[in-house]
Amino acid sequence: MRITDGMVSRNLLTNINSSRETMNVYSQQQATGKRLNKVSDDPVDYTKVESFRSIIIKNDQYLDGIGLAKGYIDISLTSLEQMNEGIMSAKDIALKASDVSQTQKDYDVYKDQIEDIIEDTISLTNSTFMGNSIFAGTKTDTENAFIYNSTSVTYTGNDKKISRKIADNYYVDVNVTGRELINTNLFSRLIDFKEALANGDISTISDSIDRLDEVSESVTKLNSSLGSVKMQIINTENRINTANLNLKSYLSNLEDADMAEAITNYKSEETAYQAALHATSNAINLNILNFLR
Amino acid sequence: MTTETRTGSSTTYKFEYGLPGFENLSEFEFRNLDEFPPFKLLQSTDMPDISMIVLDGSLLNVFENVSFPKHEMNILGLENREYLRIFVILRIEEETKHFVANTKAPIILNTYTGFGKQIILDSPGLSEDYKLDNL
Repeated sequence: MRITDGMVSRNLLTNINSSRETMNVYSQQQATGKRLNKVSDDPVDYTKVESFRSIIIKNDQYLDGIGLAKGYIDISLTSLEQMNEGIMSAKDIALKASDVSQTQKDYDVYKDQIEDIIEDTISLTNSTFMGNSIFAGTKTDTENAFIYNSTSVTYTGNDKKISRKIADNYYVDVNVTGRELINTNLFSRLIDFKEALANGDISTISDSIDRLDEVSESVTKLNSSLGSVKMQIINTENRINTANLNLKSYLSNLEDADMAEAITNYKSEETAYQAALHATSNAINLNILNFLR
Repeated sequence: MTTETRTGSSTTYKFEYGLPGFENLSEFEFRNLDEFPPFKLLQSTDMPDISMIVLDGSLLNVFENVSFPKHEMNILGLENREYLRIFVILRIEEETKHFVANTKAPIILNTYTGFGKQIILDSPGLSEDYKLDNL
């Protein structure tokens, strides 16, 4: 059977019409208010919708606060880990220095290394996050709350916890205070060890091994506590984020125009329609050309 | 879709913890959308005007190699995947007006006991904005 241009045109037009019909069905349903996505025809309660929208905004604010809290905690955790590395290095030096073969010359070398560790540790305790001193309690605008004068460390921050609200009725403490750090004996043990090395005090040098171990344990405890807080924050963040996505899903369901559009997109009818249209215009051009020849 | 409970068939599931954002709603029904397969409507039985469009997660091929946290499976009394059924919640993406699925926080169901929960996963390859291709 010969396929005529007429047959081609008719087929193409049928395709176009069926695509257009499908799109019309969705548009009609939109126009009559019958929704694919709702079982009841009850009118939408817009006061409820507005209250859900407010919750989304409030949740977004919590999420912003959570982002900042996480940043604060991450810098604290990194600083604590690096302090601990310094302590462990100092302990290694104590092990070497305790060997009977060591002389004052060796102790002098070690003393300089411990001095470096102390200065690095001071630098870590004076870490900042977005310009705020993280280990100064609530006196976050105190620059260099820890000051080292080679025989002792002074602390000019306070002992207060920084409490952040991360959800309704849910507060967490996001900082380790300077007092908590000092209570690990971080500085006193390092300074004592340094002086023992300067004085060739073998007994204190040797005691420093266990003492530095204890410091490391204490710093690790602070790190773990803060790590737990971080987990709580992450769990809350996930829950609030999911809540907002669910609320947005519910709201998606109410917007008829959006729903019709999404359905259209999903079914790709528009693509089929355009493709059919394109093919048709080519077919028509061919007919005209044939006619003109 | 039905649960096989001792009290008979039902498309209703109990959500002890509600859903994030809807913690006070403890029971939901899965309803067919006859003109819009394969999507279904998840509707609260306490507040019927609260509903969301959901999709059977097995149609997406993203959960096959995902292991579900043991404590979450335990909460629902699921020892293995025999009675496990997964659904994802859809929403319309603002900018593109396309459906996206939250595969990062699927709803898991125990089809034997009739209990469900929305859980949050951190497997790579799962996303909050999973675009649907034609199924």
